Amino acid sequence: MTEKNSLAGAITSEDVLGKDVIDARGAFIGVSDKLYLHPKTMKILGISVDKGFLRTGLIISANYVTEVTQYAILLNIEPSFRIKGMTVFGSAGGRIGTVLSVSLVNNSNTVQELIVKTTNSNIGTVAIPAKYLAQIEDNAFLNITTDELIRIHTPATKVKR
Amino acid sequence: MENYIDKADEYEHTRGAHDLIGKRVLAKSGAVQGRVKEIRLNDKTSNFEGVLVKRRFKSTQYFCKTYIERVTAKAILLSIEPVSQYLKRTVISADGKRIGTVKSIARNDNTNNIRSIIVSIGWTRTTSILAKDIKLLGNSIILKKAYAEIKHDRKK
Repeated sequence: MTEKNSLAGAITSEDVLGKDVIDARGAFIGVSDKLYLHPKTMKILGISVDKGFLRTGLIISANYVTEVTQYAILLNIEPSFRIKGMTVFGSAGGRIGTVLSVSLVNNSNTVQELIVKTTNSNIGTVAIPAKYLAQIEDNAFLNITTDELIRIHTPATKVKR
Repeated sequence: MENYIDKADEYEHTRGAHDLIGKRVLAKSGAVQGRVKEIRLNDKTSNFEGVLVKRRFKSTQYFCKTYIERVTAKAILLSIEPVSQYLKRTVISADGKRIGTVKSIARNDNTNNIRSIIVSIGWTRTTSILAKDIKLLGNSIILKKAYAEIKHDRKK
């Protein structure tokens, strides 16, 4: 029993689950395996993404979904967890280190700080606040040089992998 | 040191080309292209023209000064994303269907502008996609057309 035309153009949960999830840069994130619904309004809150064998999945809010097509679920963001493992360069192109983990602001996609294992043995692992991030694509660029980072660095106290 | 300078910058504002040999060459996205093998000068004017980049297990590349954004003491930063790095990347339609992988890229002369890409579909089949049909060059290559349209165009 439905109101007239209220289901026109609607898709079912079967159309959403089991599909590839693709981020804004075309990277395959994983496969959707769960739908999260509001218990009263039945509104879709998000989807759970299975990233593959032995890898922890992630939950993506419905706000970050652009479109559910016949073949995939397209996102309008690049999930910040993809920064993990990237090489970090200073503004002059000097190699700083590798991202060990990423802290996010309140489970959103906004980066709070990066925990970076540096190549400089004197400073070891450092926490780099998001304000020093200039650009993140294939690798991450900071808006400060390696020497400036050494001057202002704060050691990472607790490294979450 | 004795300086002889007329209508030119001070010695302190110059950089030795020899110091740049072996430095990293980074694309705009931060992808490492390789290391500087040679600094090339114009054979008539002696002005800096570009750099030759050696890559591990790949052929060398030459980048002219137009594509170089900055030359620092630590690296050479390019202003472009060299199209060669999109080889073997997945090609997907606008609706997210995986079409194939990039087999080769045709460029306009020696510039960094793509004319078309050849996409291998399965084992033997290939299809050509024009640059105007490409929406995004990223981790994958996303096309402007949906899968049904691409399939329809291939049948023509």
